[in-house]
Amino acid sequence: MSLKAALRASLAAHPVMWALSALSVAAPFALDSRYYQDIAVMTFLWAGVACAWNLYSGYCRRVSIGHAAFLGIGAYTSSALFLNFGISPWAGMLAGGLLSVAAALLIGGSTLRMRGSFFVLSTIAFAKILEVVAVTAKGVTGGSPGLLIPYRPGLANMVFEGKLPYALICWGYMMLCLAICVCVERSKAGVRLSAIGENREAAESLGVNSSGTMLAAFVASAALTSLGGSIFAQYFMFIEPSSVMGMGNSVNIILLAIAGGMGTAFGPVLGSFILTPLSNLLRGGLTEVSGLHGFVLGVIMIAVLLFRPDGILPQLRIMCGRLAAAFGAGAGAAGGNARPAEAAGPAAAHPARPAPGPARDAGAAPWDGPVLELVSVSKSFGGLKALNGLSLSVREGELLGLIGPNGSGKTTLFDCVTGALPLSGGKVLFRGADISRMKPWEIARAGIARSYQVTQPFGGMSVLGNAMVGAFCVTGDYGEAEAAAAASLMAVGLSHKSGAPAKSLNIGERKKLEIAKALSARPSLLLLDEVMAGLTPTEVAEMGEIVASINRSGVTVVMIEHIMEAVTSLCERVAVLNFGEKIMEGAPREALESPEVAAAYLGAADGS
Amino acid sequence: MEQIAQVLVSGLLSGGVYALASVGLALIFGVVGLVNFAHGEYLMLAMYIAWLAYDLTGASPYASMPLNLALMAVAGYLTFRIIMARVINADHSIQMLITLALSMALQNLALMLWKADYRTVRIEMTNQVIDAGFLVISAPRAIAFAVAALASLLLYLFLQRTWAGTAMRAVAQDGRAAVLMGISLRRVYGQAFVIGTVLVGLAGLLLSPIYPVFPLVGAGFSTLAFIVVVLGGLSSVPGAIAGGLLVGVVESLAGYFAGPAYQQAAYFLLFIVVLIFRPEGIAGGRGGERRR
Amino acid sequence: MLRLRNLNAYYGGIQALRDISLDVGRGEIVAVIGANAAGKSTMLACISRAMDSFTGEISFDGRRIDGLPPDRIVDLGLVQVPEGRLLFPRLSVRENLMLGAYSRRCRAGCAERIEEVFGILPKLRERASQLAGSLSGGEAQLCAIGRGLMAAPSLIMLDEPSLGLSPIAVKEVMALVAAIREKGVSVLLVEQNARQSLRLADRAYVIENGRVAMQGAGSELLEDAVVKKAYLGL
Repeated sequence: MSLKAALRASLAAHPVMWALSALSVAAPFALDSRYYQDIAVMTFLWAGVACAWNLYSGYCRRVSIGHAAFLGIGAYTSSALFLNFGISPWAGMLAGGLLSVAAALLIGGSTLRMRGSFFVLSTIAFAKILEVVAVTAKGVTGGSPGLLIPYRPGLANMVFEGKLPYALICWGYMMLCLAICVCVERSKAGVRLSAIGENREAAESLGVNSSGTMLAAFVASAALTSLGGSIFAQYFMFIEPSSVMGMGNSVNIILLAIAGGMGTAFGPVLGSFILTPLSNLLRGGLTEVSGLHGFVLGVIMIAVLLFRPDGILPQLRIMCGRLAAAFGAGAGAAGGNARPAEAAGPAAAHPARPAPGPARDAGAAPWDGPVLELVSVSKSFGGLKALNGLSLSVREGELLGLIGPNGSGKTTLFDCVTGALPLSGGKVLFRGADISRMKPWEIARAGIARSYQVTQPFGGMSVLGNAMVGAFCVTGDYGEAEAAAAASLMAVGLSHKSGAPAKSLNIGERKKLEIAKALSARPSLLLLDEVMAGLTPTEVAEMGEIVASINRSGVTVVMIEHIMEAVTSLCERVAVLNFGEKIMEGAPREALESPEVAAAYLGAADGS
Repeated sequence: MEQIAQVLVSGLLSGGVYALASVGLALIFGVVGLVNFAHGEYLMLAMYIAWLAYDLTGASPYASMPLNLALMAVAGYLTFRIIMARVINADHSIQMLITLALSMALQNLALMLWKADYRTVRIEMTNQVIDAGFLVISAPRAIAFAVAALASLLLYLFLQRTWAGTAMRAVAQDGRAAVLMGISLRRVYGQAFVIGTVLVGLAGLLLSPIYPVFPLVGAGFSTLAFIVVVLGGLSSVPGAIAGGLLVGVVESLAGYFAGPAYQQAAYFLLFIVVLIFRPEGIAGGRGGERRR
Repeated sequence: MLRLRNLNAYYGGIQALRDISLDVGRGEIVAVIGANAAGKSTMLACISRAMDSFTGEISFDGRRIDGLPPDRIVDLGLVQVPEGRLLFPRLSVRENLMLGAYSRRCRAGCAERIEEVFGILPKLRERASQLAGSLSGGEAQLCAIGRGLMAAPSLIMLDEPSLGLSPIAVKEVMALVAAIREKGVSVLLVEQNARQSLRLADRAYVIENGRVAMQGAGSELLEDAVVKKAYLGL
């Protein structure tokens, strides 16, 4: 799907929001007081910056409280270049963007592996350090007194007499940020970012290089924020460290995005449209008591977070949906708050293909050995040996059952094959190639997909969006991924739910979605971890049918299962694990009737 | 040489108060799992209470300490009951944002009530010094350090020797198991929050004869407390104490060798280096963030 | 003394338990066996109020407890030793045991009870000041059961105590279960290891897909054909 197509699709999905954003440009022209025009300028600027913040923090749910640092880099770079070398702020703006890219690579790269709170704290520290630098590097930044931009109106200087040109620039900036967010939302990167935000490990198991994707988003977000910083400097014509890079700005950005709805393209815009004027009017109206407006704003924020933590936009959508339903207008802006791939509509546009094709091994060299071979694989946790020199080979096209009592190491084995856990010893060969040292997402792209025992849906995303994550292993195109995802959903019988948010599914549907997610990656080897546990007998039978048909389509399947009827009816071969070792391998009946297996499951037969 | 000793000692003295201002944050994070960005605002609140008591009655912050700490306990309890208890199980980002909003509301509340002016508590002791041979120590700083040390010791004894303290450590390690022991999570969370608030309040009142109070005074200390706590491994109480002392010394040394402008930069740099190379903190490998 | 009537539990949209009725008498060892995910742990979670989404009646010593908060249930003397032990890894063995006696009723006699537990489990005395995280699997399980005993229970519920243990450690745990009963404490033993637990139990229930599929004396159910059906589908 091209950018144009992404915009067009978004236009169709959110006509009201697009109209509102686009038409808002008329507001400053209609208002003839400088005071209100100033509010409009601020509203557009903050909307743009909040969109830029949203691009990273909103979609992958990692809150940066240091984004004002990028605002500062932009403001100081363009101003310093202009003051010292007479370089036009338009060019300075781009230079600031580049500098922010460099800074973002540094800070983003070093914080990639940090968990939530640590990441937040390092973004604060980063902003603080830059603030200190700005205060101390007096030669360039003017130190605490700040920099004054001379009043020499002219387009090249980005200095104007009235407010209207600024309003246009800020509006343009906002629309740019919004358009970028919309395009990202409907692209490979957007789907992947959302998946990372929901569950990083599960996303990696579906071929998402989380580090790369996150870094790219962080860099883009920083660069866009930096552009806003340059505009900020030109508008106020005066910058000093705390007014640009202070914590206050960082917090303001976040509050706008949160209030509107983080992780939705229009949320930050809506947040700014409501809160920026409100905050300015409060400040203007409540002048007799300084601090009152900030206090009121803080209390409003607390109330929103306590009672409407998803923000205003999702709430608004639900209300619009109800309204539309009440007026009998089917084509409303409804669609719940599932993101991305909001509606089931686009899927219908691509007629679903029959069950997704078999392994995508077209390019791979022919291989007639075992698909998967474990050579004395060991895994220990502290002193506990979860896998103890286990060897196992899986034949092309077979459906192998992996059974054994609780705690015998079955799931650990899957984790070792998919790279989720590093091996303590031995090696894993996939089609003859050693994959023991590969990253989970590389293994997924090589053609091994898995399902999780405890289902790991990307809860806030739509069912279709969930299934799309894996599809990007095979294609880079949004439309094709959508079609592939729709086909996977059809294969497991979930097509009717594709527009629903994944968290609304019941357990049986979640198990099916788990398979569909894996299937979209077109694996040649599928690892299923207890996909039948917790299902009713009817559902078990249905699931058996699904698994069998996947296997028939040419995908090799290894399934961990405790429901023995299913194992005996589906698998031609089983391997039995106990204490991390393989104690038996063979036909299901034969294995189950063996005394060793009975002992493993039921305890020793004699009292000793 | 003497000067270096003087620099180190004054660094340690400030460090003691930094540690006290930070242990509460570590305790709340470790037990409740909450990153409290409004932590510094409670320091600000206690400073204002000390100043008000001084301004209205002339009482020194030490004399108004019991009242001050009691008010801080009430403030902590109310914050927990009205706001925090509702977001205990919410998403990390929601929790953080709500404490950010709270910090904003409290700062502005202070601005409304007391204006942006710098207020100082000028008791006689403010300018007194203890002359210990080659070292000169300001009396309020010495008292602050001594009280901070005593408070840290009491906290340690509370955590190690009492039922409530042991329960708190248990909850920090495994909330699910603690419930099976008959421990009420809500109660322990509330206790930890109140204790954390009282401790940072104590730090505030000890600082009031040394530092002026103004609405944004807490913001600076919040950042400092976060740095201290990350250095100490985020949820570790002994780690926070070590981190506080370290930051005090680093700040003091940087001020002496590089100039006062670089004091902040020095400990931010230390912070970034630690975050990158030892994200689990300097004090030990076990701390770190709890999975939720 | 423990009575479940028509217990239905819901878990993520599905019904995990269907009409479970079960009794444990005074001084009895009752085993609940069944394959993985049959609903055994869910049942214990309902009893201890670790989960709320259930309907039905749970009474203990003749009084309804299905509306009580978890700490009150422990206070009444109904204690669960959870699956996976859930010790506090960075507290010492002694502190772990102490926390077992956290409920107000038991705090006073805590020191004597620790001695009593050390009397039954001399191995733990040697390890008293070690961190619980450093115990081996078998020792950790004994410590977890010891911690449960600290609450002076009249009924103790053990969830998969033999999980992941070596055969020797399993024997040790089972011997401990028998010793607990000798002290007059009733035991509700939830196990996958059917043969060992059935041999020990006075009565047993087999749970399949969230319902009671069979019940009877332990020795009756020990007939391999019966349990093999439940576990291996043979």
